[in-house]
This record gives sequence, structure tokens and C-alpha cells, in this order.
Amino acid sequence: MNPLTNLSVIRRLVQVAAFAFLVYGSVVVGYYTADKLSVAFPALTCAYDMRSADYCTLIPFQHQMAHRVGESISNGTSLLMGLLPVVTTLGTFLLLFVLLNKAFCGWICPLGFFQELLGVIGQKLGLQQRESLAPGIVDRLRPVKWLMLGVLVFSLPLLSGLGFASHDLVGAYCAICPSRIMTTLAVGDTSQLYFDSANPTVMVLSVSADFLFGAMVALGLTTRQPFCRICPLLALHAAFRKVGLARLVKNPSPRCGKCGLCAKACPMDIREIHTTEKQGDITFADCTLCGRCVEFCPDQDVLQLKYATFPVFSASPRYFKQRKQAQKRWESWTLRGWWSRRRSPATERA
Amino acid sequence: MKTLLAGLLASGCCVSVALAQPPAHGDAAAPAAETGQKPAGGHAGHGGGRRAKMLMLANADGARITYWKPDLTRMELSAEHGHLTLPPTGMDNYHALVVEQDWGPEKDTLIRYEYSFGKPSGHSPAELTAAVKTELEVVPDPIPREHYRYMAADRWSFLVRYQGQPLAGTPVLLATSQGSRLEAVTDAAGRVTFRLPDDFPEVEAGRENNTPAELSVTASHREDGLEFVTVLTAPYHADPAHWQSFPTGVAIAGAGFLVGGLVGFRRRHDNKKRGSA
Repeated sequence: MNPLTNLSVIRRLVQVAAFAFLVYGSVVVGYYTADKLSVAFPALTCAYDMRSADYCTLIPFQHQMAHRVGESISNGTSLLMGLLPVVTTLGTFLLLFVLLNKAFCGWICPLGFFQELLGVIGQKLGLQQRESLAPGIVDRLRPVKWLMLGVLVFSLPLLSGLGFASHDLVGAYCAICPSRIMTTLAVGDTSQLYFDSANPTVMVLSVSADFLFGAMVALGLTTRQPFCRICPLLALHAAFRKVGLARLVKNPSPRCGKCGLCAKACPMDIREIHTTEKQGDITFADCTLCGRCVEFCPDQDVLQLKYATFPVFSASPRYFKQRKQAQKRWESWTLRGWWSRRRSPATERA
Repeated sequence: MKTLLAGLLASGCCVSVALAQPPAHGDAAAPAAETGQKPAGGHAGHGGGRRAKMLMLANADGARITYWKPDLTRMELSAEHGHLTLPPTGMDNYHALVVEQDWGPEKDTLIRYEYSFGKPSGHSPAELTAAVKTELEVVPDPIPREHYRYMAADRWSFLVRYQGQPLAGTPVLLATSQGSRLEAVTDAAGRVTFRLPDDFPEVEAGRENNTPAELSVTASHREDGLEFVTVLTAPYHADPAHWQSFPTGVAIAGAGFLVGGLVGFRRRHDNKKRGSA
């Protein structure tokens, strides 16, 4: 298969370019010009990274909940004035979000790419990959992203602004976000990987952040997208997914009920892609619009990635066959396999 | 008068943030601001919020005081009884305070970059630092971005420019209000880099429990019989390494890695068992 016709290869190239731009972008656009690009980019990259070219939208949301909404309530000033910055941030977020919808997760997000990279490393090291998580685990994990968004991004910063919680909780989500540690380490800055002993609140937050980062790295070697499943940005994207122009569309066929290859290919284990009989837009809350389900659908046009009404990429039996072979070849080479072949005597090999 | 100003410049005490400045983050910081024991609080660039800031200015009688907005428009200010009020401009981002004192054979300049909140200015602080604001300037290169600030033990660079051109081979003095002094000479690009002194006498755990100190970066240059002296002042904070531990952070991340690895291993093991059954 020509790699340039392989959607996963194309996506990987876009991810590499996006990672380089978002994590090291100030090298291109200038150290301080970077902050003019956006303060509400719907991708998980970080203001803590001194080389980044944009800010994650969750940062202004947290600060505005604390310093604008919370403080305007506690000071008795106009709530409308407090809410206005939040609405502005939401507006700028949506302006960009409309363009690519949840494809930001699957194609742009640096942390998403980092986890996929871990999966590649794990596979090449010969660590056995988990195809899918059990449905029970997936179901239990799904509400966590909404809790992360509601509690860490909105509620705790608001309580902090109201004076009911510590000021250290203004950036509650950032304090535990693995992207903060990942992007800063990626630019050679170790200052965000720390244990903070200043007070019990920051102590708990710093321990949670470090532990979560370590666990994400280990799980990422064998499990697909471990952190994406609980990411608050996934929830924020899910809330507005109907306004985005990019979408996953299904035209169910009678064979859909038997096959299930699409759900198996999905890195977020959305089994509903396979089971739903709905026709039209099926961009599920956990979907990252990576397109793997479309790639591994063997029936003509049953699954499609569409931009507005235009099909961008459609399932086809021919592509499916080539893609399956390419995947087999890709997975057949591992470091462990290479090492055992090297160590086995020539006669055995013969 | 001239001697006094020069002396103050060298010790880096010419301008300091007044304790009357309103706290940025609610009542918790209020008593601290009044007593001067704690900083105004907040994160980098958030101190002072959208309200007017008050600075104390020594030896500025007759000085020309210019306040540069992020869009490079300017306003003239005047100090009263050694107090200078920086009015809110409604514009977000760094502003530059430039105080020029002409003594005849010597011209002294003091520059300080202050962050103010407001509507997005649409201008990069790089435009403000690049603008020629006076003959001789010490320019932060770069100026700290959001979530960053000058901190003890960090390395930061400064450019020395005369009439907008880099000045190579110029001696530069970094002095702190804690009494440290460092000297260096600019390179061919007019740049000098200092590792800020970790000289806070008593450090308490937590950034907001430590009052920031003042640093000044001073350079001088003689041209056509005139002596130009310039100083950049800025607050700097205690090194968080005093209460944050990188090795412990690595150890906790390592524990997370082990637990994550164990969970992954157990799931694979369970899957295998299910598969063989």
C-alpha cells in the first residue's frame, strides 16, 4: 500500500507537524508573538511550555471562573461582567472548533499524539497490546471526563474565586494535567515535574499530577489512549460536537451487526459505532474523528468522514484489504521478535 | 542630586512597588499587602489586575516620565511627592514605564515593564521591547511570558541597545535589593546573561509566602562627551526549588509508572486467560 494513501500515515504526519508547531511553535512565530495566535485553542497544549505557540482553552476558563465569575459574585458586582469573558472564551473556542470539530483530538492534540507514540513504542518493544478495554471498564470511565470538566475546570476554580476554596485551586485542572508535564519535558524544562511541599493542597495536586503522568506513560505502552478517555477537553468537545463541520457518518448495512471491525479498530473503544443502526451523523461523545473505524470498515461507504456534506474519506473493500495487509506488516516487526531471531541459531532459523 | 540618583541607580532602589497597591486576589492578601510581609499575590502578570498601580519613585523631580502602552502609544505622567500612579489603560499586556532624568553632562534612564489587564491589545510585547524608548536601554530578552517570572537561580538574558543598535563589550551590573552584585560584559549581539542570585535570606514554603525582591540591571555608555546611564528594574521571586523537589517528583512519577504498568500487565493477563478459556 502506498503510504501516502494510508489515512493513518497521513494523520500521523499531520500530528507530527501539529506537535512541532504547538509545542515548539514560538521558534517559528517568535517567543511572544505566539500568545497572539490564540488563548482559546481547542487543543491540549500548554501555557507552561515556554516554547509553545498557543494556549489550551482550559486555562482561561479556569482563571475566568475564579477571577471573573467567582470574584464578581463575592464582590457583589455585575455577574454579567463576570460571565462576559467566559462567553468570549467560549466564542473563540467555538470559532476554531467549528472548523475541525473533534478532529482536534485525533489529528492535532499533542497529548493525544504523545499517547499514540507510546503505543507505537510499546508495540515495537514487543509489549502485548490490548486491543480493546472491556465494555464494563469503558462504561465506568466515560463519566470521568465530565467530572474532570465540571469539578476541576469549572467548580473548584469558581469556589476558589468565591473564597470557599484555596487559591491554589484556581488552576485545579492544570495542576494535575499530564500535558503540562509532557510539553515542558519535551522542551527540556524539568520545572513542572515536582513534589510541592508548600501546603497540603499543592502537595496533593503535585502528587496526583506526577502519579497520573507516570501511570499514563506506562499504560500508554500497552493500552490505547489511556488519558484521552478521561480528558476534560474531550468532554468540552463532546458538548459542542453537533456544531462542528467534520463528522463521522454511517449508512448502516445488514452486515454491520455481524462484523464489528470498526469498533475493534476504534482507539476509544466506542462499540456503538458497530451497534448503532442510526443513519447519518454518529460522531459519538468519545469520538476523536481519527478515522480508523472508516479505514477498517470492509463495506462500501458504510462509514464516512464528512466535512459538512462533502465526503472526505469513505470505507471501501479495496482500501480495507490493503490497509489490513499494511497493518499486519507494520505489527509484524518488533524489537523482541528481531532480538529472538538474532539469538536463535542459524540452523534453527533454516 | 545627581550623585544621589546615580547611587540609587547602582543599588537598584530607584523605583519600588508601593505597598498601597491593592491586592490582586481577594481578602487573603489584604493584610499582607498592608504590612508588606507578603507579595500582592497572583501568578505571573496578574498582580495589580485592572486597577491603577502605585509606584514610589525617588529623585524624579523634573524627570520626564513616559508610560508606553502595548500598542506603542504613549502618555506623559508626573510623580507627586515621590509617588507615581500608573493609570489603567484598558489594554492587556506589558506596558513600559520610562523615567528620563537629564543632568546635563549625564542622562539617567530608568525602565520598568508592568503587566496590566484589560482588553486584548492585539500587540506582542516584542513590539514594546523592540521599540526605541530612549538612547540607552537594557531590554529583557525575552520578557517573562505568562506563568513565568524572574526567579532566583534562573538564567535570564538582557540586551543593551544604544539608539536601537546592540552595544557590544559593555559592562553590565546586576544588583539586587538583597545586596548581591553580578557583573558581565555584553557579547557581539549586545546580549548578557545572568543566573539570578538565590539570595533570599529567609525562604518560606510557597511562592505567595515570599515577598518578591527587586533586581536592577544597569549599563552606561559615553558618547560625544555625554554619559548615558540606564537601569532596568523588575521584581524577582524566590527559587521554588526551596519547597519543590524534582527528585521526589520523579520518584512519584516512577511509582505511577509501576502501578500503571502493573494494571496494564494484569489486564493483559486476564485477557489471555479469557482467551485461552
